[in-house]
Amino acid sequence: MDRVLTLLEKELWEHGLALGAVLVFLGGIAGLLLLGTAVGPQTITVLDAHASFVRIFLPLFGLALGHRLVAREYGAPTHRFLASLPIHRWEILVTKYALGLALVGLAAGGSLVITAAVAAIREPLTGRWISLVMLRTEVFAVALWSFFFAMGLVGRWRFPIYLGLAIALTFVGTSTDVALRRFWPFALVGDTFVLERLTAPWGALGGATAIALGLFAVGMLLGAGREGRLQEALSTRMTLRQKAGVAVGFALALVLLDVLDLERPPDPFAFESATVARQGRVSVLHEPGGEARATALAARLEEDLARAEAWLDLPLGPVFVAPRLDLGPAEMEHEPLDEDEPAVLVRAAHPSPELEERSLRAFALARAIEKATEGRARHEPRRWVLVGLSHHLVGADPAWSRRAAWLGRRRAPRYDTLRQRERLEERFGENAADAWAWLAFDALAAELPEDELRSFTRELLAPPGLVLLDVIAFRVSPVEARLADAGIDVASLEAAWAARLRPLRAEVTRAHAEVAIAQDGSLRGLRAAVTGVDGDTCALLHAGLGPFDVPLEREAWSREEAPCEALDARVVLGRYGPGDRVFVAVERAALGGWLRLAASRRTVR
Amino acid sequence: MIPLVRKELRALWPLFAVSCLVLSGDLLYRPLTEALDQATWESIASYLRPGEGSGMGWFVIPLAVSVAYAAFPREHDENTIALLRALPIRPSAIFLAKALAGMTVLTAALAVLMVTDGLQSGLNDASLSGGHWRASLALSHLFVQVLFAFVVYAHGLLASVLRLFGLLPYAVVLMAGAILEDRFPPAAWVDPTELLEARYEGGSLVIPWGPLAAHLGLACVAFVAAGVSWLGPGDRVSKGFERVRATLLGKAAMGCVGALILLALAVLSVLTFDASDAPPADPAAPTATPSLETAEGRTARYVYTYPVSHRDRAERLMAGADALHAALASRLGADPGPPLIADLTEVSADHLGIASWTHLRVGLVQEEDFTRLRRTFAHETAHAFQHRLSERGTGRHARAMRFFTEGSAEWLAYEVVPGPEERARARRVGALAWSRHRMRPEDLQDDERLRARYDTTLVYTLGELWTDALVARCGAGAVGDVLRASAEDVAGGVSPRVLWDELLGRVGCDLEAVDAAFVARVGEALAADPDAVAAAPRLGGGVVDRSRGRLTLAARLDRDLPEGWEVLAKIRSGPEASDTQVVTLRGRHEGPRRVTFSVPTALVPAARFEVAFGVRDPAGHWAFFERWQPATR
Repeated sequence: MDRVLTLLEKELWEHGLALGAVLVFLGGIAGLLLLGTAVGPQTITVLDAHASFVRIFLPLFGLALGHRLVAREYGAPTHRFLASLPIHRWEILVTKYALGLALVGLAAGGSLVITAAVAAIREPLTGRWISLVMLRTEVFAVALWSFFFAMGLVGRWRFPIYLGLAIALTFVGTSTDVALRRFWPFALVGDTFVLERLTAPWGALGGATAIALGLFAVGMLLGAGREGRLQEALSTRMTLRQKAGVAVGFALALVLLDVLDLERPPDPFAFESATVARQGRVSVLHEPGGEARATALAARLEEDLARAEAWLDLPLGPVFVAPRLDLGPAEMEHEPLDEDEPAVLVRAAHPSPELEERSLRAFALARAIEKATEGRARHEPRRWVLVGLSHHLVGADPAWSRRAAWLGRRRAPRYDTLRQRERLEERFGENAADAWAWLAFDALAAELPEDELRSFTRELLAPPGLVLLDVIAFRVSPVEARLADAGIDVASLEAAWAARLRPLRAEVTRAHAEVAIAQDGSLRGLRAAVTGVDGDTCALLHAGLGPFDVPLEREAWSREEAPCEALDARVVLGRYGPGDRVFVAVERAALGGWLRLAASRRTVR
Repeated sequence: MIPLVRKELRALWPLFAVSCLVLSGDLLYRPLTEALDQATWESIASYLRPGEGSGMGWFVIPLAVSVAYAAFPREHDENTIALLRALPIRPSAIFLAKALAGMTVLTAALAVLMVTDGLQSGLNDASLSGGHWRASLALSHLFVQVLFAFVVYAHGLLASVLRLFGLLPYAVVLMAGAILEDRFPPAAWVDPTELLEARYEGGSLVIPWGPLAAHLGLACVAFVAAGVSWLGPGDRVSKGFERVRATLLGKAAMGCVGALILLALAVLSVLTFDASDAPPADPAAPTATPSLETAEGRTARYVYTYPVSHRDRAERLMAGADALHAALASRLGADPGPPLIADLTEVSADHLGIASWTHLRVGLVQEEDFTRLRRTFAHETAHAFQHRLSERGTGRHARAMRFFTEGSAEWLAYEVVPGPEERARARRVGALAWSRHRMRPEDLQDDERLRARYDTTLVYTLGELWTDALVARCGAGAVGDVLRASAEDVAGGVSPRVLWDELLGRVGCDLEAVDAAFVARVGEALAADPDAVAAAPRLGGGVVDRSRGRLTLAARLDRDLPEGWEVLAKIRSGPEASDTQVVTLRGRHEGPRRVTFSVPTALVPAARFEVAFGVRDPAGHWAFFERWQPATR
């Protein structure tokens, strides 16, 4: 015992000043936390200051203490001098452990005492409550110090282990379903640390104590094992090569962890309500009383899916259709589900009598094919084939002909307009671009024997094996080359397509739209005017753009609707300033949907 | 000189390999996991995205510091510097060769990043989302990144004179910078990582010449100081410092310096807020303040602390509190649970009450209307129930559940403390924003998405309406059932919408069905009083004047403002700002349809901030706000 006391005296003589200064520093930190918590707008109890201290500053204190008391001694030659004295190695270690434990416990307990004294002024604290918080605090402090004590004895591997643990815990916390907060000793200082007044978390207390004992034993083993040779071997410095090796190892681990995702996937998507019509793999959610129409729609969709499966020789997943009455008759929404989920979910104004049911079916079919091809069917050069085939399989709708004819007034039927689907859709809107692709595909279907057409579409709309190989293969053999292989060149396709377009009539008056950005004082105003049409509804669409052109999702737009003749009264003032890039478009409600009269990307000056 | 540089480059190659791996490691897996002909340049290179890029600084800093520390300390520690000095080369050549090699390694690693990102994005030739790579833009980014690396490298060289201790002053400076930035936004440029934040004018990168010049100037000073130290007195300074630090006096001095720095930081954080810059006091706010003397009360379900100055009001509230508690428990299908601690001394400028676990704080004096006070009390009690039933799942899944947390608490509060007119008014405000902004349920169910574009208080009004749809579609016990389901093990790392599918699936209901019912209810709320809906003006505007330390914003209304209505403006630094960091301003009419707002420049949270204009019917609590829009100070 005398030897331990002498060792304790040596430690205090060596570190006393620094430790005293650190404790004063911690006192200052605790005071600042207390002040911040007391005046904080979201403070629920002043004891939160103690929680912050224990969660953030106590580990930092433990880290510094482990370095000072343990790592520094064993990293320097002084431990050899100690080892040459008539003292057991375990006595040195026990002394260091006890001193560190006392200091960490004192800091943690002191924080609670001070915080509770302030909290008691305005909060109804009870003895049981404070005792519970104190118990959790001290057991956490023991586990914490035991960890840093053991880490202090791993020598040059200390920092790699700290870093590795930090990365591993971050990975476990963010990329797995393991809830660290439920594990010891973290559970002790979790969300309810200073708020739980009645029940002690005995499991976490016991677990944290066991962990502390285990870490203490590891520390003793490392410090005293093999008569100190283990410690001697661990305490030499790392070479630059070792450091670079560790860094490369960590970088590779980071890359690997970036790719890994060990989280549990969500439950399979399904409609659970009683009001669902099911046919095969199709489920249509409906309002009470709408069962008959929903069942008919589900049956038709199931037939479409079966036809597409046979055509593409591609298994398609379940399709779910949900009602959304605020959508227009030709407006459909696709809601992405979890990426591992084989199903697709689409919404439409079902069961509105105005709903373009064929458009809904084609839309749902296209989304199902997209899902089955892991998104490759959305690749721009193949998109017209996807849209065309899905429309082709559900049969023609008169509205599509009119929209194609409307677009035909503005664009010649050139293959480039199919290849550049993103640009076409941005300029004329999705409905018109879909009708355009449908007509082109229909022309292709008329020109090619069915076997060739099937083979052509199967090649393009297939799931990728290895995605890199698919990318390379497509660059080597683009759609045009595959068309030629199927027996039709681009010029023949364009001619057949033009022939189909010629007799179609849009049956809608011509309208003209202009967009202007005007200066209004120091503000900029966005304004649009439509001429040639009265009585219809028009809309001014606008969205801020970054430095790059990308297809805008519908939810990125702001939309100002007004009667066409009054649209110019709706000025978007001040939303965009000099240097901003803006997408602006004008749409007109016609042909059962929205026709985009004008669209442009502008830089506000 | 050249052989020296070669020697240094040989020594640094492991760090070059690490740097390349850290910066360009995605090249190892991205081609195998992503279809690169569908990936855009900015999806591969996050530093290109507007407002982002500063995160990359935290990759470059450790790399540049490591390269700087690899220059001299080891040579000195292992005495190999003596061998170099024995060669017929000037000491300055040694220093320059080391610096040149260090910067070559960093520049090369950053250039490799640009090249690998460019190569990967080059496979996408889509008409809009492809072909984004532009040499001029890539070089602009590389230019700024290399200068940033030089800034860090120069400071790293200086810090290395004092070995690891040299990093301490920089850590303190960074901390001080963060406090300064928080308290005095115009000083944000002191954070060097801000140099990397991508801002564009049109399609061109805006190079922050001013801050760049300041940081480069400081870096040059640090570089010269490092050179002077390492060429001559470096060893002496370093060893002398160690000797001084080892003495009692030295330790005391270090301690005092540390304490002084801490004190200075604390004082800085408190004093930089100038009370004279505070917005004018709200004349509508209650002026009564609670006494500091408090008393305790106790009922079966609560333990109260209240100001003795408001004893009557507190006792009136306490008299009915247990009944409210029982009514809430019954609607949630919950057992009463432990008694709650109710702190009624709350006085806050930004909320009427808050709650967590078994604690709630409600301001007795802030709400003059006693019915509203009871409703607030019920709302906060509902939060305490939510935390217990969901085992704090509402907090864990806050991004997906915030609208439900606030909306269901609001719904429960209206159920137990009815107020049909007020409820209808609140719903109308939410429905108005919904229809005018053409919102979608996903906007509500994803708090990040909501924050990015819309007024965040919509979680109360629209959340209440959504909860009503939930109960109508899934049954009276649905609110409690959903809370209990969120306590279970649910999928992690999924989108809010997927989480909601799972939660509602577990209670035998469908998100789509609830959303459809919710959309129908929004329509009903609008149709209930079309005149009130039509009366609410649309607003546009922005910053019109920046002079004499004040910023003037102007809003223009598209129709006359109904009698008594007020026009408001909210400003915030960006979507990341919490609700308490949003500053609300009241407008001054300068014409029938023009309203101005004046705010001290120091209160504007950032050089580029966001503003949202809104109007409020004085009879209601909630205001209609336009979307957030960007503005510059």
